[in-house]
Amino acid sequence: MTRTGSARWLRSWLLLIAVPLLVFGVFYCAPIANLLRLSFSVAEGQTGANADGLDIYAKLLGDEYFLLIVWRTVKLSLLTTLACAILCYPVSMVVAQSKGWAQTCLFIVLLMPLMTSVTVTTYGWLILLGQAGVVNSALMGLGVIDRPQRLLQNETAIVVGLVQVMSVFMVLSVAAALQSIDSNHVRAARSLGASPWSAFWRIVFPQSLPGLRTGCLLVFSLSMSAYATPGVLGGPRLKFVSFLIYQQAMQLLDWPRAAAMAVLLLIVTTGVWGLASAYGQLKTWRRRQAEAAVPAFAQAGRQGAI
Amino acid sequence: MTDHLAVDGLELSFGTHQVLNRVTFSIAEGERLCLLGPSGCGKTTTLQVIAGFIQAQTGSVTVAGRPIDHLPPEKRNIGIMFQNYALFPHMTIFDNVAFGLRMRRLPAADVEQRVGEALRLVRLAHAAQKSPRQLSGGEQQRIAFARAVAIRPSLLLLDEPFSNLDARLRIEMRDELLHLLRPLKIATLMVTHDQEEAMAIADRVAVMRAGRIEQIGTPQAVYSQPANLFVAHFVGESNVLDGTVLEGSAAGTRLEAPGLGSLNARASGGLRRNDQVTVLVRPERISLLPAGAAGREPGWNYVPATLDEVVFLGHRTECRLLAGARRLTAWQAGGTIEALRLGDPVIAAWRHDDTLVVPQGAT
Ligand SMILES: Nc1ncnc2c1ncn2[C@@H]1O[C@H](COP(=O)(O)OP(=O)(O)O)[C@@H](O)[C@H]1O
Ligand SMILES: [Mg+2]
Repeated sequence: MTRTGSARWLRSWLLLIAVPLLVFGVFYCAPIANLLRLSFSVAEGQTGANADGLDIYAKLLGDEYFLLIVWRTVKLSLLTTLACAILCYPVSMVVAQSKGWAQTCLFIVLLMPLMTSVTVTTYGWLILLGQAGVVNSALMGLGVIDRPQRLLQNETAIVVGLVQVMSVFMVLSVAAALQSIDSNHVRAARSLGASPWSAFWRIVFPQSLPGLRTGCLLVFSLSMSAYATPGVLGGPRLKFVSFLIYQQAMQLLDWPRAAAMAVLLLIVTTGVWGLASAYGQLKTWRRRQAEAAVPAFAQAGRQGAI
Repeated sequence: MTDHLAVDGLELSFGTHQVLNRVTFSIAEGERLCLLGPSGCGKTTTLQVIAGFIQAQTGSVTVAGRPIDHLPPEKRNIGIMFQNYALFPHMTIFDNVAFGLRMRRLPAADVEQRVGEALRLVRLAHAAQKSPRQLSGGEQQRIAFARAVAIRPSLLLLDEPFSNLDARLRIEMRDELLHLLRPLKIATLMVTHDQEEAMAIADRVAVMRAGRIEQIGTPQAVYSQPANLFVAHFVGESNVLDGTVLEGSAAGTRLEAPGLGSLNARASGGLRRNDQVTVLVRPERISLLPAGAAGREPGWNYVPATLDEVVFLGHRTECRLLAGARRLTAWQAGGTIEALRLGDPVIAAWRHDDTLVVPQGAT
């Protein structure tokens, strides 16, 4: 390629990525930069010796109430992710194996909670889990309980609601991974003596892990920033961080504090995820080390004149 | 020799589409049989039924005298090399080859020893700790082979073993596979749509069309005595002519081919005067003589023609002839036709025995 040719090629290439870069910069990076800037500013009317930028962070990190809510958000998000992974894996297998309109129907069912407004979904949960709801009536009718139990406004209700909304993300990413696995791999394993279960466990499951990981990342980050579902199903006592941020920004108009909370939420989310993947990496690395003990014949082959 | 694998009357339909139609064949101990047929004729399906992945609606599969129809794939002890090799991408080469042995709960030392044997057999012992992705197509194929034979299977199934390789490597791997298979003496069923591969590897070839086996025989027999027009077309190339029987007997068939005059052909049972037949002559069987050449030998057909086109192809020269309105193709080795020029009159000559007759309707 000539010099001018390569320069022209570079220019057209730059032009090509300029648009996505611009969109990314304007709609993604700029708000985050703005958020950071805002969190270090000082709210109007707030004066005093210690009113510098880091003061807000220091106060937040010393605030037990805030930390409690962060802890609850992380804990329930992790639980949601775990429940989603366990419940959605079998569903993903069904989705991956189904074809044509059957698969479309499954996706519509899974997408329903996303397409319905939160009010409708909540109303559904109220009908199901309320004091006079379907579940309570059924259990009382069966004689399992003698008076209605409080099934709403607790942490379980939040997790159940989040799982319902987040399932589709888990199913989509796991099913995509499962579908990309060559069916001949299972056949090969079977022909070599593996039972159906063994073939699944040794061949299919390990190859679906990247999809499971993506699904977990999606569900976890979306749960960490969930607002409506925990707000409605958990009630006013069991707040999530996002509710707190909303309160600060919209009701108390303390924008710097809201921004600082948002930044901390971002840090915690990436931090928890980073720790989880670092742990995963460590385990793979340990296994690799163990495997690196090369069998004797392989070394002989290496030295041989091949 | 006794039958090691016996496949008897397999029938299978997907909906109204009959994929297998009374598929019957057997393989002797240590024999290599090749199912040869066009794409979609049911070769892979046949393998899958034998391997136990698909259940045939009727028919049975017997290995060493024992019916295996009721056994799941993992109990059949059949080694399979898949068309796309199907190496497990999340495992090392060692673990791939060891998989079947570990499933059999062999002690670790035995596993290591037998994986070593299998990898040395395919000359890839040095790749044991690599991942399948790090190997070339030919190497992946050798690993797939090693994995299939490491379990010491009672039967080896090879599905289109060369279809994923480029043309040059294909011939190399064909020789390599034959070289590997010969000493192992495992009953082997290979499947391919490439007649050259089939003939090179197999002791016997079974030509298949639309779920039916049309002919089984040694490569030589299938090539020189195709049972019908389909087999003749699929295995090698042929000049195809129409003819009318003048006289049929045990000694031979005399027939009239429009434009070529009367020809003598190999004996073919059940032909009567005035039967319409198809006449087949392999291009490499036709010799060319200069128009004035004297001497007619008994047992040969001689047909006057003109040289219409000459195509030099290196290992052979392809001569297109016009005999009246009929076109004939003759392959000549070396420079035998150097003296001839386009448009020259020539005489095409071939033996009576190289003239095959197939009744019309038996397509
Ligand atoms: N699961 C299936 N459902 C419906 N038709 C099938 C199925 N599997 C194979 N077939 C059909 O059976 C025929 C034979 O297929 P196959 O055995 O793969 O052919 P080959 O290996 O000879 O190319 C094809 O026409 C194919 O479309
Ligand atoms: Mg096939």
